[in-house]
Amino acid sequence: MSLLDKFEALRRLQTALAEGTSVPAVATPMDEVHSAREATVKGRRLLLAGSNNYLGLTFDEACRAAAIDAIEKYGTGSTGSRMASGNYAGHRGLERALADAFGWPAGIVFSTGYQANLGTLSALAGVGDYLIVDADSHASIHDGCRLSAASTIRFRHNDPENLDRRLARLGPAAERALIVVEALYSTLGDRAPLTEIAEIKARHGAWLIVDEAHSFGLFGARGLGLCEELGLLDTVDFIVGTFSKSLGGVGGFCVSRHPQFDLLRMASRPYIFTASPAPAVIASTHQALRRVLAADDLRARLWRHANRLYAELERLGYRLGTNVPGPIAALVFETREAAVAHWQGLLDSGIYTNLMVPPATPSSLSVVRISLSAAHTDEDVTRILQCLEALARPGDGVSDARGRHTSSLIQAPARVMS
Amino acid sequence: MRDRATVAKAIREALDVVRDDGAPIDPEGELGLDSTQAMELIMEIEERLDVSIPVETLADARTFDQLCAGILRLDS
Repeated sequence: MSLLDKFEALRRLQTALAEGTSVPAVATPMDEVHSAREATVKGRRLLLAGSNNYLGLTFDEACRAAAIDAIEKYGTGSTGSRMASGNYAGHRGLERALADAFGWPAGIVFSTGYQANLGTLSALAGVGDYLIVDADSHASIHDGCRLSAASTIRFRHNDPENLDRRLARLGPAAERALIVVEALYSTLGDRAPLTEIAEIKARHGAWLIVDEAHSFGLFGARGLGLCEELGLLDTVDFIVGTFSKSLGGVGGFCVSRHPQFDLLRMASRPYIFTASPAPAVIASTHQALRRVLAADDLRARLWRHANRLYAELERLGYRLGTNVPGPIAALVFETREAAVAHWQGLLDSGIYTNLMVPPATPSSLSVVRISLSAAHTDEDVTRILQCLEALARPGDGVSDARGRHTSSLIQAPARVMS
Repeated sequence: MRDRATVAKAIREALDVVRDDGAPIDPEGELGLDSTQAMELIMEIEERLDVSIPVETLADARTFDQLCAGILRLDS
């Protein structure tokens, strides 16, 4: 078999993924982006309900102004690694601001969210250490474990008892174990049982890192994430986050209550051997962070949308990835065909969402993922719901059924959902 | 300490759970699992043997025999 023969399987996968949709559901070509709400795809203006733009800050006026000002002052690129010429005042200022927000001594910025996990996990855990990882973690976490010289042990997704057993087997070596979890899992929108995990961590004397990629800016009194909301900032050792979701930029970070964490810069290859983020993205991200910390109006609007969407979808009989409302609503389908039909149906109504099918999903589930944004209006959420109501009950009146808790509403969609 | 027969039995049982084709096991042939099945296989073996199996153990093992040897090495 020659080097490129295995790519034939990928070609077949690419073809299969494109089947049944009028525009590609994977790598959908965004030809123009008009706002945090809308983009044009193949000549059609679509409502964006499948971006990670939870607070809608990509088009925030102050964030844009900060980015433009940084380009004028510092130029377009960063010219090198943080270890060389790319260590600008903006990078250092953002790291200080992130650490200060948590009241912690150390914070490091990475060029992408992917690299934040890669760079943190690979450098924190070395030979003789253990990474105890939730099995459904993001690829960046699994890849960070592969780059590390530590021993990686997976535990069943969101199963504290399963985690407890793995730490118990380690005995005193649990003190060299780093538990790795996400606060909010992006495929199904479900939350980690962080309070239980933190208790287990403390009992075994292990360490805990929480990836708040999809929860930073959305949870907690100050928007610092689910750990803040649950009162766990005194227990968790490291928090990872990304700039590309609630903060409307690109990049990632890790903060820690341990001052030694700052020395990770000397060891982390994904931090050292890459160009630092561009000045513009650092400036807009810093402004977005100020915006998140200054007021809770944006996350309050997001939560209003989330609570409404979850309540209505449940009423319509849709099976969701979780029953606990959040910024991600994952519609779970029995078959790939049903998921594709719903994704296409939403698109036909001018709504862009995410289609996720095996092998990219846990437990071989087929999912249509809706991601909400504070930039959405109440009318946008209504539009999404009306479309899903029509899709759930083909040929039936929509307005007729609104608000009625009749059994027909629950039973009708069972044809495609369970 | 586990002996080879115990480990082999656990892997065989776990393979029966994870694979649905019921194909006979070739000790020297490729296990032929996708990444989800491989993860599930490890979890099933772990529960049967009450042992934690690092991800690297499976990554290094392409066949039944190699996986068996990798798990036995965990005790050493």
